[in-house]
Amino acid sequence: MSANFRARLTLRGTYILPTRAGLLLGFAWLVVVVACLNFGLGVMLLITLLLGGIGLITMVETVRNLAGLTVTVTAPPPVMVGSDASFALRLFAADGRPRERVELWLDGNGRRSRWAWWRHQNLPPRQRIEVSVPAAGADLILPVPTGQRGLQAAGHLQVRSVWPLGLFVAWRTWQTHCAAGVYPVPAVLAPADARTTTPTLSPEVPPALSPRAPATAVAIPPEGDFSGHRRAREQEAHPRIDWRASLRARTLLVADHRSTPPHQNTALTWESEAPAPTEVRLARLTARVLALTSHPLSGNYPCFSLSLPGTQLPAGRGSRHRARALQALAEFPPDANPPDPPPVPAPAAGRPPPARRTKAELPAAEVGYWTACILLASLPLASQLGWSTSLPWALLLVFRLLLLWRRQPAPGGIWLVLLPAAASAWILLTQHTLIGRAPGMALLLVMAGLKLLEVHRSRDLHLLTGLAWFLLLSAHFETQAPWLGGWDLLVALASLYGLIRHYQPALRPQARRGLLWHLTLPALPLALLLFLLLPRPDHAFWGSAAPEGTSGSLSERMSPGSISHLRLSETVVLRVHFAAQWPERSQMYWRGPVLENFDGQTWSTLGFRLLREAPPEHHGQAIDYVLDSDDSDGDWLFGLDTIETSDPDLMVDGTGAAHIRPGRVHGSGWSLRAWPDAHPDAGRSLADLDHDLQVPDGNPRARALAMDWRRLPPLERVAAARQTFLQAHLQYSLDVPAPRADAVDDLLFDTRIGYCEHFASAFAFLLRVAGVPARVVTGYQGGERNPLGDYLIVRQSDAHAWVEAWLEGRGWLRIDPTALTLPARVAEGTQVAVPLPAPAWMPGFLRAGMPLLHRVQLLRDLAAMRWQRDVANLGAREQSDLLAELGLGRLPVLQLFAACAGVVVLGMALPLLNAGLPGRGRRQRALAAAGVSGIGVDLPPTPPWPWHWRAGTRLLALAGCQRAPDEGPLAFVNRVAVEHPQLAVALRAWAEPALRARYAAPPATAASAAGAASLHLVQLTLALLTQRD
Amino acid sequence: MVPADLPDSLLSAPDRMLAAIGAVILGKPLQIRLALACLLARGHLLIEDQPGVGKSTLAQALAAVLGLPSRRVQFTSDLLPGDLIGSLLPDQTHGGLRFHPGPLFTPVLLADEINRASPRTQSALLEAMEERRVSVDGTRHELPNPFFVLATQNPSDQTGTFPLPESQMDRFLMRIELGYPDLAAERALLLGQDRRALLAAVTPCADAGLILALQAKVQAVYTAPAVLDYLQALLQASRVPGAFAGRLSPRAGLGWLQAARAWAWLDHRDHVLPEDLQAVLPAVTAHRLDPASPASEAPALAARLRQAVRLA
Repeated sequence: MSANFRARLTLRGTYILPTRAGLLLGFAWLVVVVACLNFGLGVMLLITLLLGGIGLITMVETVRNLAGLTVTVTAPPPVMVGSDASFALRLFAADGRPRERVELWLDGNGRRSRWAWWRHQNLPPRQRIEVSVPAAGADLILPVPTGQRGLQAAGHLQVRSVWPLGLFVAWRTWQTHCAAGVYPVPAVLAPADARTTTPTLSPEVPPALSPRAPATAVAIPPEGDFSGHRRAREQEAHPRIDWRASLRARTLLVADHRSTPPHQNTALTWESEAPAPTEVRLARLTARVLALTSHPLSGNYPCFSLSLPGTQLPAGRGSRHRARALQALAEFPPDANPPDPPPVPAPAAGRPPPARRTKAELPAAEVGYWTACILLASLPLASQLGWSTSLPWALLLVFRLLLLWRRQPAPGGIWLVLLPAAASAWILLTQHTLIGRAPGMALLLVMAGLKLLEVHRSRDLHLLTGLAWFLLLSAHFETQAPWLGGWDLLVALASLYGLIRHYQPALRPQARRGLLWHLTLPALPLALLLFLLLPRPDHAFWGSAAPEGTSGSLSERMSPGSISHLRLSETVVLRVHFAAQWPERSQMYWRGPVLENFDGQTWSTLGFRLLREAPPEHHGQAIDYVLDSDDSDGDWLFGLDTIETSDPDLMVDGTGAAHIRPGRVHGSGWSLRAWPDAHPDAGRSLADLDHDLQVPDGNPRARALAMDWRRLPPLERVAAARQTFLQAHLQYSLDVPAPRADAVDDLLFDTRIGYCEHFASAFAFLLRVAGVPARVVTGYQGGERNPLGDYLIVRQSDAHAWVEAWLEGRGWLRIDPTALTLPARVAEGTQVAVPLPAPAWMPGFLRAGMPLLHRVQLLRDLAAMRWQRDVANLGAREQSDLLAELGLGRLPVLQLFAACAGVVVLGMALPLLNAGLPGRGRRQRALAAAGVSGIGVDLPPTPPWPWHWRAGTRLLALAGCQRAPDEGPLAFVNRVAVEHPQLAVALRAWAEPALRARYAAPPATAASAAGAASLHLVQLTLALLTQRD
Repeated sequence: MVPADLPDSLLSAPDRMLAAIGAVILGKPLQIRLALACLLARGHLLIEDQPGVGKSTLAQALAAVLGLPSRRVQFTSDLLPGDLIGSLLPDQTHGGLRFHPGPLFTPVLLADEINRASPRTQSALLEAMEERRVSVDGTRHELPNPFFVLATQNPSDQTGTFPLPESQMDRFLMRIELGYPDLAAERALLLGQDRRALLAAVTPCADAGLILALQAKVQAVYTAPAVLDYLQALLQASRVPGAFAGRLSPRAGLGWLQAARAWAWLDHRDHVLPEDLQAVLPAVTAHRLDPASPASEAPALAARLRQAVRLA
């Protein structure tokens, strides 16, 4: 009747799927990865890949938690209908590795069902059980309600686990073929009815043995054969009581010396029962069988036989006979047409409804933790958006914290409509729109703040985790500085810890941290490899990551003061690696917007842009270089004059300035070539260049001066202009008086003070009046060589403006009026030409340390350069370069994908390979040390062994002497000493102080034992070595 | 590791006792040591084995060596509590009732074949063993100090025996099994003197004062936190549902620690090692982990418990 079931969970047979939470987070993760790839956000990508790696490790851990478990099911003894059949389950792992939080259920459905694995949600909670399996295995009881007489199958058995984070569920379902017998429920018999079924108690006792003392109800014959025990009656004399049997039976028993005639037999037959439905008859027969055998403990069974249609049970007695009879009744075939009211209450109908998860509010400490997490995650974005835009967010956070502090529940109902509406209105007020990146980010902030107000369930925590990722992602559009990467890591770990805290509330903080590292550390190499190998798109699928607005750099307009104010900015614009030969300083003109419109004050570009028809004729030596553009507004790429490129993502316009094509994932590593001696547009005619001759009204004195030069040939007009500048004794300074209407006159004749933009503007004005086509070029000049990485740093302070004049047959010629006034500006750079005064707050000794400080800055810049190139802006081309540098060659995208898949598979397979082996791994030890120990209880931390003991045991383990898990240290030492007698002296000398340190009372005076201990350790090592030789 | 602050008599007393008992009971040094440790730990000892292997002899030898007055009670099924504790009898001289102490009022009680007595009589022992006093008719009577019950029992499957209730099993600190002697010991036994004559010749090595002093010394043996951790882990492991038929009570834990201290003391150590806990583990825990199991299953039970815990 009872069959045992035994099954082992193997890696192959274990299924795994993401849970709802896992799907949600997986989707969020995918979105973030695609966004990172699209916008070229390398830092965030690295962090996201780390999180993905943690997800993989979690998946592996979930499977490992089940793999290797063996489960057995033992059927219980038969029960009555309506009571539970309690199946005994035993779970153990052959490898001795403890398992955490394994859930089991039995559904009691004996029919084979393909969808049984899905049924757990409808099972009442008592049919499911969650258990942690210690190394020694776990025993548990799973009740299955019985509905009908006959057999109650254990049904499908499922073992499942969502350890450790609830992101994945691993399970296995079996059909157990294991069943418990179910006897019919006995009917309630009328007293008269019952009497007829108890013939042994009827007055068939011989008259000679009738009671002698009517006062007592005891009828015990003085002699006679012992025929079993019966229950003692009240006032039974103590000597009659059979103490030994009573103690075993736990009730007072008296030896019965009456003998039951062996021929006496009660025949229970189907026909003898009054006609009634089958189940009623069965119930009555069951009741009779039970009444006949109502003293099961005494062993004094009467004799009876049972006759059912189709089944005959010959007369017999004893507990086995009784069991056979009950089994026959239980297995009697049911009616083809069961009567309407079934005599047996069917518990199946009254099965309790599936337990609804109670909507428990999360504890305040947990809400507080997540509030802190979200605060951390949103801080960078909030500070970038400015405090006016993120005011609603800040208010929501303060509100949340206030609620926590006052221990009040979060508001609901109308507030959930009002608060978002108010926040949106505020954003509309400050941003004037709700569409676009900045308002979108502001809305994201508000959403995070609002979500904190309704944190009730696990699902909300997953949503918050996803939100935190998006918040971090948004912050990366602005900057990809290393500190933000560190910040991301902090937030990611904090949210992971929050999830662990939520899912493993029983663990101690130390054990939780152990689990965190256990999940994170293996994910690190995985994330790095994936970061290296994940193919990057060449072009953005949509949008662009370039931040909106300007951060104060060169633009398409130049007015007095627009360049000189950049002198104060130390922001790095370009980093240039020259391939072979460094150009002269005087050739380092980094070309930017070319300004051809002049309105008397402001120069600006032409409103349209033409592509350069053909590269200019070039002479002399070409200069090859690689450019990292760090901080550029718009699509300008400041290349070395004259720019030539074969990069399809770059285009050069008619003025010779380079632009990055829209959609290119912005990055570094532009490979360019410069021809310093080229003369562009040499073949054009003067008629094409009217717009370079237009001069607005004003500046009468300068105009009169230049008008005179019109009679000179063009080359001499230029020379005259140079002469004028040389003779004007201009002063190059940042302190320029406020511009007036006639800025050129002011510069040349009155104030004689200007910066490069004033000089260029005036020079171009003079040339244009004199009839020479001229234009102003803005860009950067010079730069600082960083000897640490041997590259050039160009900063905003190197911003410059110069003039180009067009001469027939020679094309555009560069003339730098600043160089005429102050040759040092070009020869030695702005730092020397226009030194900034040291800040007033800086004490003298610090000023003396400026060179050192400068060197530190250079070092920092080198680190920033590497970070930008290898992490933050690792685009398709940089990745290809990096892989080639590592000796992997240039891999096509498909191979890269294959490599990624390989890394993922390897990352999952390596820990799984270990799943079937005995748990001796480092991680098990780490987990055990962290408190996730086999016996599933938290113990106070044991003080560690002294270092010399640890080192010595490791040495001995290397030599093949390992301590068994339950072997005492002294026993271990004695055993090794017996096995290797030549070690005995060294062993005892080494072990004695360690044992004393750990187990003996602390000495009154702290003696320094370290020296002696190391001496003993050396002695032991020597002994080991000589022994091995 | 020998404590330096002790007079010589204290130090050598356990060794002398071990040697003296060893002269009577041949080839059983482990059991003798356990019995002595049990006594020093202020516990009661249950010796279970087949008839004729020397249970009573060991008990008598122990009593004789301790130099304490001892009484022997042969337990039978008709032994009544009053026969053990004593009874109130009419006082001829003063009138009224006077308490006449029974054989229980002795420092060493040899309860021979304890499982032949009825449960009622056995329960009369409960208070005496734990509280070391008895109550008769509402009056408390303190038992002498030291008080030590040395019980022997036949395996419970023998006829005419009652299984001891768990509550009483728990009051015995240790249950040991003597087992048949090995060939050499049995040959020595067959060649040697009559055991009864030997018992009569045993010279007491101690007295009540010395035993009290030794018990105090054992109590002072140092127990490091690491040892307590290990003990607690073992206790917890015994309480994992479904692991064992019975679980170790806090009383068992206390007694176990005390027994380990005594064991360490017998080893001339002033501190407890995990090995001491392990050494007394089968004797202390087996009859609690599964009260119905015979003593012969103790090593297997003990090994299961030992292996459930990783010793750090």
